[in-house]
Amino acid sequence: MIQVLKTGAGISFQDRGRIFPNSWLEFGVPPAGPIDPQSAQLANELAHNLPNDTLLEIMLGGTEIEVLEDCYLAHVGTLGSKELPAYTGRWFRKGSTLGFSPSLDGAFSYLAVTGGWHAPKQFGSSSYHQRSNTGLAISNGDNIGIENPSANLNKHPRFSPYKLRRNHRQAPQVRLFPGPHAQLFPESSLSTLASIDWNLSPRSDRSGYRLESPNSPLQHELSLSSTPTLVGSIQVLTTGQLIATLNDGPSVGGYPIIARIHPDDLGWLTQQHAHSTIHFQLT
Amino acid sequence: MSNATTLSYSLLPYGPLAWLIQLECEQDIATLHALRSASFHHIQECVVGYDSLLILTSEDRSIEQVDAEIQGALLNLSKTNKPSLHHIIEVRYDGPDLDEVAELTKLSRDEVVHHHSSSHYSVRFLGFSAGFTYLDGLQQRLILPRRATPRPRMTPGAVAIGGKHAGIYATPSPGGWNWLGNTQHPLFNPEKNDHSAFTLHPGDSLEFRPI
Repeated sequence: MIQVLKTGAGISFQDRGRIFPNSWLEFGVPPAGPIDPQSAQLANELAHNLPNDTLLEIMLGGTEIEVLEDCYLAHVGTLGSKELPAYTGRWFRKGSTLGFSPSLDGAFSYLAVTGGWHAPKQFGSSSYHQRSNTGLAISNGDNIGIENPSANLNKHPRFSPYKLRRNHRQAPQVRLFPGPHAQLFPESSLSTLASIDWNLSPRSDRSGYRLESPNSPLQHELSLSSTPTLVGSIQVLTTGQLIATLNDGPSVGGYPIIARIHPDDLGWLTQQHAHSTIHFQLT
Repeated sequence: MSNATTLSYSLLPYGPLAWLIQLECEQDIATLHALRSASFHHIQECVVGYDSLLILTSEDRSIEQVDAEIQGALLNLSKTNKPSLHHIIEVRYDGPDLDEVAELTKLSRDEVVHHHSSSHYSVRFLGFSAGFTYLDGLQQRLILPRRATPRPRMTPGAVAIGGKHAGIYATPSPGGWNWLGNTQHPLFNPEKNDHSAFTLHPGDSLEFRPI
């Protein structure tokens, strides 16, 4: 059991989300789930958890937590933490505290507890979706228990292997595949999209990241019917600017889907701070 | 009961393990719904859009292999869908855009309400936000563009029109449609954790009744 002393900029329950075999996309339910799925998976591995165990997703920092009962915690992501640096896991004694602070490296960290956090499920998932108020929100002072506590744990400190860590000091590597509507644009459009710098707009959130460029040649007057979107679908607004649909975004979009982000590279993009420069690579 | 169905579509690439069936003719939506519930060997999940079907495959398949599976499914498409329901949705016509819609359509408020509530609608598909229903059947004279600036929050039960469609918001979400009124009709119950969480399903018919 822990207590959330300060939620900071944002903290939410996330398991793998409402995705196959637990998908509700055909009813319009967004998948939710961790915005950096690779880091979330590593955090659960470090805590010796199952892939769908519930994590805490911590955004931007300012979060403080007190440990109310002994437990094993693991942290993977980009935020700073004196008590539990990223890519480490260790045993915490009752009464200890830990905090997460902003970092230039990126925007999100995952805190796993061995046994998984206890959170109510809706549509088979604990992932919190703010817009539809699905799942449980976390407030200052909330106590959070462990779903499957175990008396017989390996309490040794552990570290994620170096080869599985992303180096967030490097420029992000985001690969693109052509989307269903790429064919509606002039032939060179995708390669142009990949040849210019995009600026990550501060008007970005878990629903979608907006990418802007004054040099975008993608202006269009295409009017399309609502088409199913996936996490990582890139739509082109009539102004030529881009929206990458993310975990909490709508299940359909009305703008042409020119490309889709490689699922393994989603975390590279979502960890970026506002005003970062994004450069895409075509597969 | 099964028989061969023909369907004009293009099969478009959508990144790893994903394809989009784009209809040539939007009237074929019922075939898309039948296709969605057909069973495929390598197709893991299907999601219906306005005139397209997203298909996610369980392993890497070529476009020819995916197309062959679709053609195979069309040959044996079951026409015996589950029975569709008729719903009567009571609406209090007090939405914030009623006056603007009346002005843009050069109708009185009462005429807008009359035209909106005298049509028979059918549920085309669910999407955008949880349980949001796209309804076919909006009268021609109520067809208007969406609002230039979407509202940050439409409340559950909001009854709205956008383009060719009427719609009902089942969960809170941002929305760009013109907001005509509100209904107390139960639409979405996440506690149920299954299909019965949603009241309205594709193929259902409905009418609005002013209160």
